[in-house]
Amino acid sequence: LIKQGEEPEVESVKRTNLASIPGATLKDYFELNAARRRTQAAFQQFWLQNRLDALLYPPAPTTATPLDEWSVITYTMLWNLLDYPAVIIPTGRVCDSDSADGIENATFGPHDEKNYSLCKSISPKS
Amino acid sequence: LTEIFFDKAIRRAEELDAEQASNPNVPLRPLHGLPISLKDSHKIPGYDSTVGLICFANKPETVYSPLAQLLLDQGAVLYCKTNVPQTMMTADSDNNVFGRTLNPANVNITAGGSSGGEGALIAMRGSVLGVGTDIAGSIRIPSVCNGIYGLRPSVGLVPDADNKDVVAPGTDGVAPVAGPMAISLRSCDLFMKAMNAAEAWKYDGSCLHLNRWDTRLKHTNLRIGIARNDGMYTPWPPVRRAMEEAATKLRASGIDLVELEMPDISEAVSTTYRMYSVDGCEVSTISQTAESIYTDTIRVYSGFDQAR
Repeated sequence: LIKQGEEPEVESVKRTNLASIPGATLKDYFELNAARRRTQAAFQQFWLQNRLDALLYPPAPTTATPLDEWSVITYTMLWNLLDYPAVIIPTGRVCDSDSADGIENATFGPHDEKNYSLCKSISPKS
Repeated sequence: LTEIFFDKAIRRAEELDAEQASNPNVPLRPLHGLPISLKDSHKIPGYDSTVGLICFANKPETVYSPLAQLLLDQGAVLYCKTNVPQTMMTADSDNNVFGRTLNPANVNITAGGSSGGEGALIAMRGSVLGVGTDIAGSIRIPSVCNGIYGLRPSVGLVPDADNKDVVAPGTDGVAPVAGPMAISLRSCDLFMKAMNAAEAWKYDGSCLHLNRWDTRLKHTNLRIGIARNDGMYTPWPPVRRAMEEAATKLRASGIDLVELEMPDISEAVSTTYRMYSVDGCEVSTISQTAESIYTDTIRVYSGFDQAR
C-alpha cells in the first residue's frame, strides 16, 4: 500500500520495520498458535497460584519518549497475546526529581541500556 | 484531526434534542447526545479512512463501520476522526497525508501511537471520550504519553469488524481490538456498558453473545499483584516512582498487595512479533526493500531479533 501510494516510509515505520520479520508458512503458523497456548497456560498458573484479582504493572519502561524513539512494546503486547483486559491509569507527570540515573541500573543487556539512556533526553516542562 | 464534520454533528445534536422534546417520557439512550471522537480507521460515509496512507486519500467511504453505527444507535454524536501512524503499526502518529500529531504537553516528545490523535485530542479536552484500537499497545501507549485513561478490552466485546486495516484479511493471530480512551475510568466503563446495552454481536458477528462487561466486585478482600519490570527493559525513574506511589496508596487502603516477578516473557514476545508479520507485511509495505531499510536503522531489539 505504501508502494501503491508512491510515498516514502516515515521514520517510525522504517525503524519499527515489521516487514523484516519473515512471513509464516502454515506449519509456522500452527507453531505460533501452540506457542501462544503455552504462554496462556503459564500465565494462567501465575494468576491462579498467586490468587490474583488484578496485576499492577507498568505499561512501558518509559514515559513519552523523544520523537520516533518509542520502540518498546513488550510491556503492552503481552496482554494482546494473552487477550487479557488492560487499562491505563494515569499517575501524573514527570517531575524534576525524576532525573535520569546511571546506566548501570539497566541490567537486561544492550537493548535495555539503549532504551534506558533515552531518559536523559526528556526534560520535564511545567 | 483527520476528518472534521462539526456541521453534521451539530445537526445530529439538534435532531436528538428534538427527539427528546417530542418524546419527553421515553428514556434516553445510554450515549444520548454524547460527542465521541473516532480513530481514523473507523468508517464514516462521505469521508476518507486513509489510515495515514496516500493510496487511500480522496476515496470516501460509503458505509459506517459497525462500531460507528452502534455508537450512533446508542445516541452518540460523531464529530471528527483522529490521526494515526503510516501503517498504524508504530508508536508515532506521523504520516505523509496529515503529518505528525504533536504531544500537547511538550512538542519535543511523542504523542504515542497508533491512536495518537485520540490521545492528544483527549489530553487537550477536545474530546472526553474517544475510540482507539489496540493490537500491540495502540490504545495504551498514547494513553501513557498523554496522561489519560485507556482500556484495551478482551477480544469479542467491542465491534472491530470492517474498520480500515492494512493487514491481509484472515491473518489475525493476535487480533486488534477497539476500546475507549477517556478522561476518567467512569467514562471507559460507560462506553463498555453501552456495548452491553447495544448487544455488540448484532453489529459484529465475531463478538460474544454475552454481556460480559461487569465491574461489580465479586468480593471485597482484593488481592493485587505488583510486578516492577518485565525482565527485558528497566523502567525509567519516573515510572518506578509512579509504581511505588501506587503501591503505597494501595497498601494504605488495605489492599493485599503481593510483590511478584513476571514469568519469562521472551518466547511470548517473539511469538507476538511473528504473529504481527504472518504475511511478511506484504500488504502494508514491500518486503523486498525491507532488508536495506533495516540495515539503516540503529535500534536494537531483543525479542524482535529473535522473531527475525
